[in-house]
Amino acid sequence: MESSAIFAALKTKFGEAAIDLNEDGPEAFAMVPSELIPDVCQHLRDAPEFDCDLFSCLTGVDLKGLKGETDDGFEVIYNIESTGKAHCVSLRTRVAREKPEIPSVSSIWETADWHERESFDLLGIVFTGHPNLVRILCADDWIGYPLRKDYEFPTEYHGIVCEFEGNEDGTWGGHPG
Amino acid sequence: MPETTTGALIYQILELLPFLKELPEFLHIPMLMFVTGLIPVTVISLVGLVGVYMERKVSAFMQIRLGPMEYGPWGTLQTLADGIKLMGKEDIIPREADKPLFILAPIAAFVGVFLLFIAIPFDRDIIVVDLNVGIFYLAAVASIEVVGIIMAGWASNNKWSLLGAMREAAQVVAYEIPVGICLVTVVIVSGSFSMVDIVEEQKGLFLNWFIFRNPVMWVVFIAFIIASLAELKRAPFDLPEAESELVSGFHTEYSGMRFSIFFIAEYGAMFVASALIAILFLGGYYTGIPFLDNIDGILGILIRVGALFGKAFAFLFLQMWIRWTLPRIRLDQMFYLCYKVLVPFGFVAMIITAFWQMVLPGDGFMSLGWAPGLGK
Amino acid sequence: MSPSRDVKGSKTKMADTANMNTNVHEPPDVRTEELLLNMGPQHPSTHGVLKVVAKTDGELVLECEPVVGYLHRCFEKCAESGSYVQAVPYTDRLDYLMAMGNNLGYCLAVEALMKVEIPEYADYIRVLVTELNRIGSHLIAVGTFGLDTGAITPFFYAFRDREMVLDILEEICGQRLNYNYIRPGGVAYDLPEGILDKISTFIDHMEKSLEEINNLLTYNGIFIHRTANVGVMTPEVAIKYGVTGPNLRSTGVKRDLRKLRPYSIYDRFEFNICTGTGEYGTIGDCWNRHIVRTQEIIESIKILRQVLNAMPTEGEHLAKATARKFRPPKGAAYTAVENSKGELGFYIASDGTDEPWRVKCRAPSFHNVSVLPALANGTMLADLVIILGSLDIVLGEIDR
Repeated sequence: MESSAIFAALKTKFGEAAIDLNEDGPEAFAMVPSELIPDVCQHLRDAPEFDCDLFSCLTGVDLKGLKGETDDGFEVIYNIESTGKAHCVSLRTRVAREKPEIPSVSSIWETADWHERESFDLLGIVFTGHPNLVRILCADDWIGYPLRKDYEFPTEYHGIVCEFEGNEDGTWGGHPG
Repeated sequence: MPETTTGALIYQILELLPFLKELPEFLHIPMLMFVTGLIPVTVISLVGLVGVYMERKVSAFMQIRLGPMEYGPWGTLQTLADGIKLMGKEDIIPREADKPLFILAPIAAFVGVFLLFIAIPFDRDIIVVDLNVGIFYLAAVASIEVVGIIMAGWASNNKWSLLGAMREAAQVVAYEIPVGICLVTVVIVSGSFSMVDIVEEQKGLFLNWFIFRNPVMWVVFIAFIIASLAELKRAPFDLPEAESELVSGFHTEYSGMRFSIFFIAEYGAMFVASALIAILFLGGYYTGIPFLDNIDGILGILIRVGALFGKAFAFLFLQMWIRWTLPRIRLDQMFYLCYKVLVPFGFVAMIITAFWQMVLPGDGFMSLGWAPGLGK
Repeated sequence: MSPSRDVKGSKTKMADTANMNTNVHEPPDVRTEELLLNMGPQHPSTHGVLKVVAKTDGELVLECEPVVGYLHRCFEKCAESGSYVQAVPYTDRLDYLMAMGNNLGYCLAVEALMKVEIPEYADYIRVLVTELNRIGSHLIAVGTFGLDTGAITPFFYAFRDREMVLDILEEICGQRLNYNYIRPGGVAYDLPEGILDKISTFIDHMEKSLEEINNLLTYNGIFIHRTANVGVMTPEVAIKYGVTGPNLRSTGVKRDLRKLRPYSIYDRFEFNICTGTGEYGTIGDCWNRHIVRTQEIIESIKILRQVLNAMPTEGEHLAKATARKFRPPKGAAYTAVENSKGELGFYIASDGTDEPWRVKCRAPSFHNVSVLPALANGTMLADLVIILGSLDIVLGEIDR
């Protein structure tokens, strides 16, 4: 199934207004309101014409400071595939920075469990209804969410002192110029 | 314990070491114990030294490597250098360990192996004690080592060690049954529990060896090899120290000299098992060629001792060959092999042997009229 | 309090019951409890710094849970703080056994944003080095899996052959493990002279050598007993947990991104998608995961032969357009490639500058290890090790 056909079908199912299509960029995607995500995902997995059984990837993006972007919240991208029908779907949703909450899809795909934990760990996006939303990659007592654009690097962790305090221009890249 | 043999041995040693006579009388027995004790210790250490070197070289050549090459020609001194290194290492006892047991464990394991050497005949006269219950004694004493290993596993206060020790206990208890069956079968054929008698019974042409005595003896022979591998916890039965599962099993927490005592004990036990296979089935210290076996004097002793060592090292090599070729079996498969394969086959072979002995007592195939005149 | 202490406690309790002169025929009041085993982060067969917390009853694993993150260095943050090309060396360290594949996956994702044309010669080199690297990676998987079952010698055989792969790759790019060779727009250097002959000698040798490894390990009776019917994974479970690559194919699902959505120039080559054969055991068990890897080595050899035959003798190795700074237009895309462990995906968001706004890596091992509890619960401790080994995980990409 072509992605445009999938999106058309989604539009008829969930209503013209709910799903905002974007097919201009390098990857066509459907912008879905966060509260609709579980329903859309469930439908994508269960409807025989979609049969999206493989959850490939979940990405959280911090939009704060992105050029040409008024929103300072987070964008979450779901890349879903069908092993039988060999088509892919890309869904996106946005949440506010103040209350970054999205209903979890871990009950639909088991593998979303760890992905959501990772996004919670690194970006602080809360997936409501997740059975075990704890840090997965960082240490349990880590403070802050490293992938946020306003993250401040700790200079000390359990007595381990990090003396490097960033480049002169305020960046953290190890390769000035 | 037969008085005469022990008395004769003490007399022989007193003759060999005249300075002992000059010591006060109450010191005679302790000194003799010390001297006779030194012999197994030396043999175990030497066998350990050679065995470890052999293991390294055999594994290296099987794995397209060279193995130790730095110390001595072809790395022959590597094991010695390692021994010195291990002696120089810090003696580490985990804080939460059961200290007395932890210290005692390697000694217990070593003593078990040490006691085995007492009943091994290297020649007609080169045996510490020719017990009239030699085989029985070996079967009993072989289980002492497992006590040391359970002690080690328990005292280490490490979950992996404990699991390893439990595996060892289960394994040794299980495999004592097939080993026992094999020993009984040999006793049926030989008609004696004495180790020297068992070997003497096999004197003559190699067709006299117990493995050729009746059509099912090779079953017993193979069962004994497999069961002895399991008793020795050698691959593919190395579950108590399975490095991919239990880190190092019962000796995870051991280091330095304590570790190396376990190590030497293991190689000592390997040697005893290999020598036992030779003694029980393949004519022990006899070469199987009558005119070589009948040579007297020092040359004869050398030939016979050499024959036993040669056979033992051949089986040592077999153990290594198996270890570096096969994967490890799982716990349940190990029990399956013991209770459902070795025990029934062993029993059947034992019963057939018993009937064979009733119908055709004596020299087995020889008594059927094969190779007449080539017997003893 | 440590568990062996607990057991000691139970011993005194046993003694008490004996003193009370109770009926000897009744079993004594032995307190049994589950043993909580921390397998890792330092353990010989967790293939890196993985921790598996296993609740065991004797030798039986009741429950287990992989704990990851010990190798976390936030590759994604590092990638954000440099330019596009500067992130390439970081990708080497993801699946450090298949660094070429990581390079390729990342570069293809960047090129998808940029829409640059890659010179044909560079595409051939990319396939050449990636497939060579895949052979090396599968050899490690086969060798270490043997090690997990207790067979030590096949590991050396596998490493001998992998050494030849490393020698060839070293000659091509100067590195043995972290290559940093494939760059956005092509590859970093041209091939050295005479390397193609060496590769063709190697693949001839590899075919014979693989047979040797198969005889020693794959068709060994004990090995089959240990791995067949152990940790059986159904296609449904595999897909539910996002398992891909050889692990998914061993369940019988014919899914290989090189065929499904051919990237680079994979559509020009003939090769089969290897699936579990079920020759021994059940499709989807540990033995079938192992056989899929050995067969994929043969398929890689097939691809390499075709590359060597069809490859142009010379050409551009790096697209001219990419010689300067990289500035993909604003936008984001997800691209996945078939790596030796499974599907390696990169989601890259560009803000139009020369530094990526967000790089997200979909690591195959991250999914492959998450299926462990589903396979290992209720098996024996020795099986847990086997199952973990058969999944062929690399902690570098799990923890990123």
